[in-house]
Amino acid sequence: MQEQETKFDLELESAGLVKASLAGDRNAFDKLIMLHKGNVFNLCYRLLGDYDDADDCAQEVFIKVSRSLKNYRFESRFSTWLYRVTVNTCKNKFRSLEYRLRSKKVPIDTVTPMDENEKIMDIENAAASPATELLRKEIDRLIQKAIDALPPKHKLVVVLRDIEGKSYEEIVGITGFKLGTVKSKLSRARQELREALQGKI
Amino acid sequence: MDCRETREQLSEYIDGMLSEDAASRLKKHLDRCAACSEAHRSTMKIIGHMQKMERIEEPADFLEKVNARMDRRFSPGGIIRRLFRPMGIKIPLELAAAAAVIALIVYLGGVKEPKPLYQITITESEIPLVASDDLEESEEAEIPVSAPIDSKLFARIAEESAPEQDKEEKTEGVKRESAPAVSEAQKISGTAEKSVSDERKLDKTSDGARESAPAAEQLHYGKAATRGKKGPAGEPSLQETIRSLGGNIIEAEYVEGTDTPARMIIEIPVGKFESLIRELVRRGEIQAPPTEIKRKADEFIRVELIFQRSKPQ
Repeated sequence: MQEQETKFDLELESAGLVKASLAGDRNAFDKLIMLHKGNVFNLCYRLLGDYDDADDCAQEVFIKVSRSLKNYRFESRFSTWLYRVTVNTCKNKFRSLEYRLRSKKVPIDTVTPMDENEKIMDIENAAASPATELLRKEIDRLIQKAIDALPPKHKLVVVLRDIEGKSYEEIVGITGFKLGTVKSKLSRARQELREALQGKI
Repeated sequence: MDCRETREQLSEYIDGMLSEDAASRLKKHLDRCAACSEAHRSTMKIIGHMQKMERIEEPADFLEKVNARMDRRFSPGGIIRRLFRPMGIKIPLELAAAAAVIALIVYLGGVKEPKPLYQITITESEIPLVASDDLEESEEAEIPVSAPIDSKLFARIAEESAPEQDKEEKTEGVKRESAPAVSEAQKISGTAEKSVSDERKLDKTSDGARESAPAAEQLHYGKAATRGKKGPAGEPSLQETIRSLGGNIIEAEYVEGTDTPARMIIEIPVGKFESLIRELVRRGEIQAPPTEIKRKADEFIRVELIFQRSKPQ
């Protein structure tokens, strides 16, 4: 409930800032960036798997947004529209030769812990400590590597669902995929992640 | 329910997307199948980890960097070098229809060092662009990588077009097109019926959120969508042609008070690039060193077109 209220507040604030930006208020657009930069950056990072690429891509997102803000019709949530721009920008990156070449260098079978026989312990019940924090980071790293190795569309759907916590309907709105496609890609992505991470976390 | 069905529906089961009946049947299978039960447990565990993945902090100067990039975008000549990597193609183009245009640039003092020919410089963006409707799912149908822009393209088109290019006719064409220059000049000097004060005012650029683009003294930085009316002879303008090829005009700089482009940044499907070049060739002469772009035909490339004044003959 509280989460829904926060989302509502965010949408309300965003709508006001969009209107002010369109009226020529430069500060309002800066505030809009400040409000959403974290989400945009994190989505870029999870999809691209590289900090610098995510930085560049997230900047490009806001440049595109500034250019096409006049086309936003307030019919969908601003955040959905923004995610859509973000996803489009990341998809451009997926198609770049540089990105494809780099992705080929990280096949799924390289997703291994520091040592082949080392298995990351279950941290669910472990007490918070520097050691568990290290383990958590290592698990994050392994999962990110496994995500990096997914086909772009599988990656897109699973990141939006399982990391960003978007509903199926929101994913449809963001990606333009049909609901059936979202379901099938998500199912396949989760199976691929399970296979890639089997025995490793 | 068997194992195959269970695995197929496991994801929806986890998200509570199955009907009560289907969920119940799947649950029964999980209770008696150790392998599927293990698949369920490990999938849940991975999802649990993903939901708790650490948020990554963006750089502290993120906002400043975005603003710097946007400001460069609106700074005359600033953005292009930063955002685009030149392909090194220089296409001298005798753009007969643009004769009046070029005269206006001279009139306005926009070009101080004329180049030998009108020039179109094509640059390729660092990343290929995709159509805005690209998100429409096309399932797994991958379009094979092709090389629609091959190294012989410019030479081939120029050769094919050569017989149609009668030099004498073209010279006459330039003369004919110089008539509108007078009317455009009249517009600028305020003698035309329509006031050009609005035309002279600096438009917001296509990036609508910026209030104040840097003042351009000589060139008009305008919104492409409002431009590109029919040319003097009723022929589609270059802008219309670009749109008819499925291209978008991203940014355009116009000679102040006119619809005449001085520079354009466009996005066009790779598959239509050849048609664009043919259209440019049709309007004039074109010479270019070989180039090659290996991209899928449906991918967009970003092209920068720069029109420069021809040296007076």
